[in-house]
Amino acid sequence: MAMQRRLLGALLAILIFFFLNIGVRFWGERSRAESLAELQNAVERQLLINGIGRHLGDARREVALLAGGFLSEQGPVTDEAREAFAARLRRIHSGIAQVRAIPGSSTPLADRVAADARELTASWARAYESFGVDSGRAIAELSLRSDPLSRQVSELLPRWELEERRRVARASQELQRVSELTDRVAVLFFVLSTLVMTLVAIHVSHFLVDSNRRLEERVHERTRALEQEVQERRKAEDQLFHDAFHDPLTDLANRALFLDRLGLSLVRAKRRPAYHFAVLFFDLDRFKLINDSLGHLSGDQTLVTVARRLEACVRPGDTVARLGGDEFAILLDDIRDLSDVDRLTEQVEERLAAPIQLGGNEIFISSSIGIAFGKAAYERPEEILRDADAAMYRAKALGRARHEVFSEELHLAALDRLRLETDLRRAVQEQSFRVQYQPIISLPDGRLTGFEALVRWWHPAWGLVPPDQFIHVAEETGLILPIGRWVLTEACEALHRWQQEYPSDPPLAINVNLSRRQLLQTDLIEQIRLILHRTGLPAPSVRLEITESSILENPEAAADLLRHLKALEIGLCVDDFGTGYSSLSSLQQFPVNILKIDRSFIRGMGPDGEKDEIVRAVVGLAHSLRMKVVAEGVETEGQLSRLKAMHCDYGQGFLLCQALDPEGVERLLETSGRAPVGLPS
Amino acid sequence: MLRTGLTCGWSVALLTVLVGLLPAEVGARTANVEEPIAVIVHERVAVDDLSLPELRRIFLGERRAWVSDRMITLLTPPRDSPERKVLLNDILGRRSEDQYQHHWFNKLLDDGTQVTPKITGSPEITAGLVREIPGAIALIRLSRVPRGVKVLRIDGKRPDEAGYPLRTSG
Repeated sequence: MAMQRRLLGALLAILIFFFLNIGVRFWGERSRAESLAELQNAVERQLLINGIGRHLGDARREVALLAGGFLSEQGPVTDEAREAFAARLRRIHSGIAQVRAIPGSSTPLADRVAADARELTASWARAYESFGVDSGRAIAELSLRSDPLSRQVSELLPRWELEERRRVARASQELQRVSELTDRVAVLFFVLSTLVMTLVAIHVSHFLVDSNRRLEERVHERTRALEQEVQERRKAEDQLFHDAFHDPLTDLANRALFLDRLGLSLVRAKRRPAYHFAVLFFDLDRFKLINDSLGHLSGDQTLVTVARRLEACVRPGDTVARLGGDEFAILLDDIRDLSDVDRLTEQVEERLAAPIQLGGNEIFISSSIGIAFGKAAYERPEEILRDADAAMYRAKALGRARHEVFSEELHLAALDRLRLETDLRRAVQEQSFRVQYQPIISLPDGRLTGFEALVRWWHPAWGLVPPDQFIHVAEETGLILPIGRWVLTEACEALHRWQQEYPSDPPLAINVNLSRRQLLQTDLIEQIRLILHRTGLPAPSVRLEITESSILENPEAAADLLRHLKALEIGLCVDDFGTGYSSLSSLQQFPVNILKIDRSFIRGMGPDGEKDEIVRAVVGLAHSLRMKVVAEGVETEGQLSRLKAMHCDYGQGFLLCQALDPEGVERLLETSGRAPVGLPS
Repeated sequence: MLRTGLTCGWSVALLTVLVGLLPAEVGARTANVEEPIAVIVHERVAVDDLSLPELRRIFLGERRAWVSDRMITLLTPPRDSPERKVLLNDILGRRSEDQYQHHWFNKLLDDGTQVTPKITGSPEITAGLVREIPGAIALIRLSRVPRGVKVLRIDGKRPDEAGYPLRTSG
């Protein structure tokens, strides 16, 4: 905006001086033209006056000679002479008329001369006419009129001529003066214009230079800023790229990068038969305990330590990755033989075995390691990782803190697992499940108090599949959620029907298992409320069984959930008690009604009494906490009698009654009523 | 008496006219008798006497005005007249007609003079012009001098006096 204003001002100044120059030039030309015209007029008048004087002189001389008798004897004047004289007089008149026609010729002197000359010529004409006819008259005319007029004109004409000469001189001087003046003014304006143009040019030049400099500075600044921005963006992109392929906690390669490098190795293996590689899949043993007991910060520090230790073990070119949670993997590139893998595995195990200092605590960590060797037969890197994972599970199943190499058996097991998973998904879609009901018997009086709903999978090829063969897969895949919902609905509907058809006091109850995944569902309460509402079963008739480990994994969430269930008057059972690390005192904080002792304890009861004391203590303590106790897996008379002796409240097991399908339950209810049902006497 | 006077007057006038109508030879013959040539001027010219040289200067155009600044109008007699001869011989000092003409040519061409002689006709016409033109001067035989003009003395002598220098030759 300031540049535009300056440039506009400069342009205006140039235009003003341009037009002033034109004005001065126009004024000069006009003044010169006027002076020149005046000079030309004066010169022309002077020339004409000279001509008039010459013609007047000639006429006067002719008349004088004629009057003096010097031209001819007295006598008539010839017509030719008369015509010649008349022509001379006409020239005089014409000259006077021409002079009078020139602008500026009208002066008192000129007017007088013109008038006298006209009168003189008229007098001469009259005299001339009389010559030869009436000489006396002619002479009288000449003497009385022509001569005085001639003298007068002869006196005035030079004065007129002089006057015109002076006017010529004045006009000439004026022209010279005007020329000099206009030249000076033109030169002055030229100098001024040049000066102004130079000043404007200097000013504009300075301004443009300054503007250009500022613009360049701004461009430089902007360029620097852009370069910096580009660098920062590149850094951010690099960081993003790095983050996309690295674990933010340990800065190790993430799953995506690991799979990418694994893919490259696989391609290389396909091209070069001599090229071998291996994948080590790590899962830290009992890492969750560290998180739960020492906090997530300690867990993260442990993961970082493990990552550094793994990195310290590998060779340049090998890839260490954190696949997620406490899972790590190492891609050993270009190995020669199995010994390379064994050596590195042992080194890793040795390093990981070293204690870790965490805020004053010294902890020990171990890892289950699955090893898979790369083969050209693999099509995708995920397949190798899957096999290493399977080997790791094998190591974990074999007692943890060890490594296992993936074998063909493992491969087949993995295939079975995959098939199982696929079939299970289909079963969920087709609802190919059955619910069997295991009666729960009151031990003191042998009465039927209710059932535990047990899910069975009706496989089209394998027949009825027990839960221990597919529940863990359902848990891992999340299929447990729809299965659990279906089982709860089925069980509630069935019990409500039986309560209607076979009423009892107190009413029969139904125990349904709740998996750890279900516990984490935020809308679990709402689901249960909806199912109860839909089936019409009273809430106190439902008892949800939750494993001890499920409760202890998420104690806060479990406590909150159990309080809500308690508010609905739903009964709560701790299932498989004794298999975890909890104590009854720790369970006290939860609103639990019933404790189910794991079948492993019941199985251990016997004459040796190796588990009897434990069971007795549990029963005693549960009662002291106002909990009922259910013994699972009662299969022998001895177990039954001991449990009775220990005042165990309920029992379930093959001895008491095997699990029944709905039709079996109905037959049981029809034939035996409430009690005793198959209870040995 | 009156009739006699009128008849006498008419007779004189008629005689005068007849004389005027007479050919020049008659006049010349008449002038064969030596007769003074009077120098006449307009009666208002304030000059009564002129010397012969002054008269020459006037007729040569060297003097252009009278005393009263009135311009002189030269009326010269016609060629071959007695007055012309007196002009050329006595006044201008025996100049020929050509010399006199040449003199005025020169004056007209060289000096641009405003005063040039005007040749007249008969003495009556001359006398009439002198009477009419102020500043006019002319030569006329004494016998023809009319009334209304002034006759100048030349070198102090009237034309009718002895020793008057301007006379026709016998």
